[in-house]
Amino acid sequence: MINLNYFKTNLLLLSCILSALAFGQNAPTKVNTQKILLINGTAHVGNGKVIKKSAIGIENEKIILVKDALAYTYAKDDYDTIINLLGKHVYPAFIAPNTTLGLTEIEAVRASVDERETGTFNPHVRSIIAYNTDSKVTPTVRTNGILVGQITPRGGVISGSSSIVHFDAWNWEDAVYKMDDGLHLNWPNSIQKTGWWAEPGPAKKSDKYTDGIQKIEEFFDLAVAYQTQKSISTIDLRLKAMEKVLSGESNLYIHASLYREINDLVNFKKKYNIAKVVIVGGYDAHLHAKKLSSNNIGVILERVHSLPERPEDDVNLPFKLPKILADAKVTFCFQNSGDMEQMGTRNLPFYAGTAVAYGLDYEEAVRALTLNTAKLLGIDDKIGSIEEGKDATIFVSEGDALDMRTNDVTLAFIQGRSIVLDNHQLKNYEKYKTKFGLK
Amino acid sequence: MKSNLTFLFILLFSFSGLSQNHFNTNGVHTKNIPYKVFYNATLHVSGDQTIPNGMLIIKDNIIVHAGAKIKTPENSLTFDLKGKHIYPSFIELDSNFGIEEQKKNKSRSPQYNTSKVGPYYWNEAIKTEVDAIEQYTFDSKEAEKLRKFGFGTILTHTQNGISRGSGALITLNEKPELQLINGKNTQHYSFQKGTSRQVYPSSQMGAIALLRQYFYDAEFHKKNIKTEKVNLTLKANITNENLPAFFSVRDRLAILRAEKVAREFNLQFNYYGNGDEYQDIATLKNSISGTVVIPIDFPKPYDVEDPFDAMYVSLTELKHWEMAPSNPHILEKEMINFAISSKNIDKEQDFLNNLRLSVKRGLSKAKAINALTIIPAQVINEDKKIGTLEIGKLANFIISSDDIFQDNATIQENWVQGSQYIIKESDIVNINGEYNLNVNQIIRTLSIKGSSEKPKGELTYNIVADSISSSGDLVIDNVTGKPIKVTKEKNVAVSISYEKDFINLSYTLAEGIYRMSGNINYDSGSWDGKGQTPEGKWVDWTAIRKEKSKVDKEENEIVYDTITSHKFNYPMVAYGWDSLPAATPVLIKNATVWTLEEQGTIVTDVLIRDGKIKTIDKILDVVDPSTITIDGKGMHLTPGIIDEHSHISISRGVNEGSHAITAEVRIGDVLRNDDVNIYRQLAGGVTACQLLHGSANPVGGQSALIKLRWGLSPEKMKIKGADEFIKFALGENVKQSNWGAQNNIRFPQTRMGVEQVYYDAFIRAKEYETIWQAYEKESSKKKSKAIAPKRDIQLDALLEIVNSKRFITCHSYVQSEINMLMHVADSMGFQINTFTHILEGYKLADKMKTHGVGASTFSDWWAYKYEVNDAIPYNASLLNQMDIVTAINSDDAEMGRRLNQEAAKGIKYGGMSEEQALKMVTLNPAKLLHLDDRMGSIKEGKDADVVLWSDNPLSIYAKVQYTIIDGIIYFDHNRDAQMQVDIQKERVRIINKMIDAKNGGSDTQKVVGKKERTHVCTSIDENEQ
Repeated sequence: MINLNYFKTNLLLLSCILSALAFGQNAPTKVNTQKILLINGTAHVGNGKVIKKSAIGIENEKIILVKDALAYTYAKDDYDTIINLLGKHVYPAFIAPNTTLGLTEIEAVRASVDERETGTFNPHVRSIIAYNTDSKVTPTVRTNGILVGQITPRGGVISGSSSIVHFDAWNWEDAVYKMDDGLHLNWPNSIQKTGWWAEPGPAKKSDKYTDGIQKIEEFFDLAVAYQTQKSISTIDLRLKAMEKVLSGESNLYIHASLYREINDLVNFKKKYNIAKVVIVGGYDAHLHAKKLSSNNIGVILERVHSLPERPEDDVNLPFKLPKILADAKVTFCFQNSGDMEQMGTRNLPFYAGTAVAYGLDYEEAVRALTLNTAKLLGIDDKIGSIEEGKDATIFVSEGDALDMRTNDVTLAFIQGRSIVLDNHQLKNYEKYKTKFGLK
Repeated sequence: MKSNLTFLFILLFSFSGLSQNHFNTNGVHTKNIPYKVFYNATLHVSGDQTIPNGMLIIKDNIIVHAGAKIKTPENSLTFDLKGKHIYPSFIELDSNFGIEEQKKNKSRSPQYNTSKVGPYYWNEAIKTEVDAIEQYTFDSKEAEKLRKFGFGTILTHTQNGISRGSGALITLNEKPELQLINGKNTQHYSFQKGTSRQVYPSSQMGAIALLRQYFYDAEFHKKNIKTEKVNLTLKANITNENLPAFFSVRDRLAILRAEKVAREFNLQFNYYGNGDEYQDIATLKNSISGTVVIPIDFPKPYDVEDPFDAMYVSLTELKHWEMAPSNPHILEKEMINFAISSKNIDKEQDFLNNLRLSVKRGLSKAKAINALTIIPAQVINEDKKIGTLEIGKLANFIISSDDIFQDNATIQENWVQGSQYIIKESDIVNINGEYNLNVNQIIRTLSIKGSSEKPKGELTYNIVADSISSSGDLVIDNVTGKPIKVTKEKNVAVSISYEKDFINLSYTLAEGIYRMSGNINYDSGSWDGKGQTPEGKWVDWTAIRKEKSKVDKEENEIVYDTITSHKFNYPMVAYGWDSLPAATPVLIKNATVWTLEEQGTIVTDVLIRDGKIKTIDKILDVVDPSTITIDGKGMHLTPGIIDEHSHISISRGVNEGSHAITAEVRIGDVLRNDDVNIYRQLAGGVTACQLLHGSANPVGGQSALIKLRWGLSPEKMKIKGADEFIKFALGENVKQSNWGAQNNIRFPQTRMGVEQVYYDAFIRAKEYETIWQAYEKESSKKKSKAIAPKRDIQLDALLEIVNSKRFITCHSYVQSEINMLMHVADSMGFQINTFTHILEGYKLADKMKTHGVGASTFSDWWAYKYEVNDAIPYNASLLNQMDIVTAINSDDAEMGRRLNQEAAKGIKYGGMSEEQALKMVTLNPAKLLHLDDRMGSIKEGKDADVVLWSDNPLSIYAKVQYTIIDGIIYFDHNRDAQMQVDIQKERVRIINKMIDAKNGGSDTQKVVGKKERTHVCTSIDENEQ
């Protein structure tokens, strides 16, 4: 399996990596000034296509060439580095939408949690400034192929705005892929759960649901009225922060899951003429598939590795939802919010794998980790697929990256920079292997 | 002749009773007590004995004759009850009549010791010293309500606490001297601690342990009453111990749990049931010996017209709605002794109607009456005084307008100890129907709808419309060609009020207001009286009922409906079995078999028979024609997955998170078999698991090892003959780091304290052993004189650990404390069996190896709390490389159903071989649980617990096709798909029935949120990971 060719031609890159290591743990790498060719790897383009043996050229931060290797001839001198990826797989960076990576370090340690501002309507709150580029968790996520994330605040009815970052930066300004890409609205729950984790009680219809919607509408009415002022004499931070969502410039992410909620949020979108709405959650989205595709609403689907909502549901329904949505032509992508969401982000590829096991086409699954996500987040002009002109934010896995048995990321680029695939967990492993004399 | 003699005896007896009156009399004494004679009635002596045209004679508060008509004695008041029925009045056993409900003090600070001052039991939930009679004051309003229901006698008790003290038997007579029958009649228990704010117990398993320890303490106290210190609680137990005992439960499984306690202490409990006893009736029948008092507050149909709302009414709730009225019938059929209670029913009509509904579902009338009369009397040993209409018993009876099971029958009088209480007719009689209202010789139709309390009247009258009238239409007569007068119907509202037999009506027509008053003749259904017209003229009026409303008519005929669904019964949730599964031989052909034995992974056939793996080899002929053959070509057969750390299938509390040590509690006491996660995990290939107590305390509770035998009773899920295990825990959870600021009282608050908790516990256990050993060594002669030491169920469990008869699975993260616990064990001379979670195991693998402990860890969890900041996903791999028996566990119902994927992470993180990875969730957990002699690999003679996968089981693309336990196919992907269809069919069937019921006039309940949660999500409940 080990490709000697890789080591031979990759010396330059290795030296880059070594110099990066000298900075200390997972220091961001220097700007790429090389011209690199990745040859013979199976490229999962991200748009549904696959190139069995590909040639991918990288220069500076961009992908400059994507071709079938069999139809591409090149001279060795054309590139500074040529890496033979025969038998390996190349993917666009997997993107983690709706994540709190870098906002929360350790869930149970309050001082390390920065994801939930107090208050009900917080459109003015911005996640980006709290994003910690030095989190110890993020490096353990990138080693599985997840290189970009949408850092998302939680709580309240409107939690605030998210921003999209890559995972190789000195500070949050370096990290930004897209600043303040949208606001997050938590739709009221139509169903109240009873019981607790070990013994859930019956779910019951919530009697606060319509009241909750009314409060949202009251706030939106105020925001709409506020924007109609020709000259604003007193600035209301909250209402001002609503501007881009109302004008259709940025996304409104509505976190909602169940049948009634999705039905009502579509009406809400129409009522306030909100151009860009993305559902986050969407367990029952497949029941409204037609409505969603005709209203151009995509779904950031709740965690695939979840229990069914109702005891009567198909035991494997959460595993099958991606296939059902794909068949219904609803644009969707994967995410990992929920329990232990920061550290669990690294399992994102395996949700796609499970979806494949339950019927989703493999390349469609890759698309839902890459290009679909980029589209829904509004960054598909830069990333999301292995296409000429896009950022070289891609990675190489020794085997199928959607299967934990074979996911083994050995090379990853963020904007052309070969990043250090190390983390504190690997270091601890090495440390104690040495102590016990293990290989 | 004989009956006359008895009659004479009673006569004399009742005279002698007269002189016993100690109550002060103001003025001249009333001495004459006449006989009261009720004749011409259908006399129901009991449910089983009916005397047509019978006669009942009472004197004072006693029955002196009940039978055929005899000569009326002198000095009699007579009551002609032609057409009416007399029944013994009902007995309510489940009540807190006259006892004020106590409220719980809502302080948030944890209370560890009792706040009750005095020589009482250490735990406030044990209140044996409470006597209901001491807390009782007669509640006239409630008494009136209960009399309307037909009750004459009430057993009342304080419904608070685990041991609730004694109950008192009361009659609903307003005179104080005629209320008390027995002040200390019964004793009462439950699993709810009630208003006690003491932290212990916080779970049902804790309540069970507390009760068991209490009974041991009570036994000890009784034996050593001379030497023991005064304890009023334990003393009261001696006083009460022979009284009939009642146990209040919230579901049928709790009955099975209480029965286990009863057997341990040779007690007999009767139960206040929940109405769900019909589910898995066979299991109940096999374990119960007492009587169940069942409620008949059957659920109302849900509002299910909105299909979205309906999704949140579970199949269980739908089926329960359908089945609940059949509960009494099923108990009767299965010959389980039961009494009926009116618990949770507010209106007398609902009580009688539900009783009638049960009869329509097959309950015999005789049993229905007995379950309200003689059976409750017998249960409380008072059947000599009450329960039937027999000579010498109390004159407690009701007079009904008709056979009480007729829908329109009403209870008209309720006699309690010889005192007459007339049930207000206006309160109960429904006057709905259509009437011909004749006012001053003009007859119009009056229809009355709505409830009895708020009847809505509507008068239909004709108006004349002719060519002149502006509102009328011009109609031309075809024959004459001239405009004619026509009449049109119009409606006007009539306001109605009535009380007893007096009624008022008023309505407004064009000419003005008509007002009328008169009398209701209930027998004929007609009304008559005088009224005033708008002109002020007095007129006569009558209203004659046309016919009873249609609904009434249909209900008059009793339609028996014993049809009930036979789908999804074991357990009664979605994906339950229709009937219990049975084993047949199974042959799996040509599968890739991961034996995890020396044979390795091979393509071959596997024959399963009698619950065991019979043959692993090419099989040409199948002898048994019932053999199910599965073509396994291209598929993979593995041993069933074993989850070393699971919390599914547990009722009412995973943590007894109150005291630092709760070794006495047992998960095995509170298993539930209706958790749908059992089925979901079968769908993920899990066949066995260790159900662990939570991690809220250094010493938690005892584990239960089960196989996922979906559909079987809790006891039958347990793995017989398995070794005993117990949960320990270290770190943040046990020192209450994340429990909130008010939790800073309990020792330990640091890791330093945890060590001392252990030493204290084990040293106490050893001392306990010394005391017992000294006692056991004595000769039998000396023993009989010596005081046997007191049983302590906590120390029993701790001692088992010290003596290597119970094995520890310890929740652990950080290396320092792991090291500490191994030192504690070493110094006490035993071994830790398993460190579970053990996320820093990789830091001290050498020490673990030396101690000989196993590891059961997560594949990749970390960073959720401070103490897991150094956790690494390579942990399992490193421990495995160090030859430590290592497993991957779930601790999570969701992860539990894809443990094969978690095992596969061992390949990714640390490069395990595929077989090593699969062992992490099969053979290795079997070893940790000491079950590897019968589970964990595919080997001839081992249990047939196997899974057939569509693909390499470590691949994310693998799906479970079949999960087999003990040779029974518990999960079959084809059957699963069919069940999804059947579940929808069954739901639609019942939903249609519900909508019919609603349209037929039944009240409904909304699918509306409860504001409170059924469990409080405190960290005590949740803190597990």
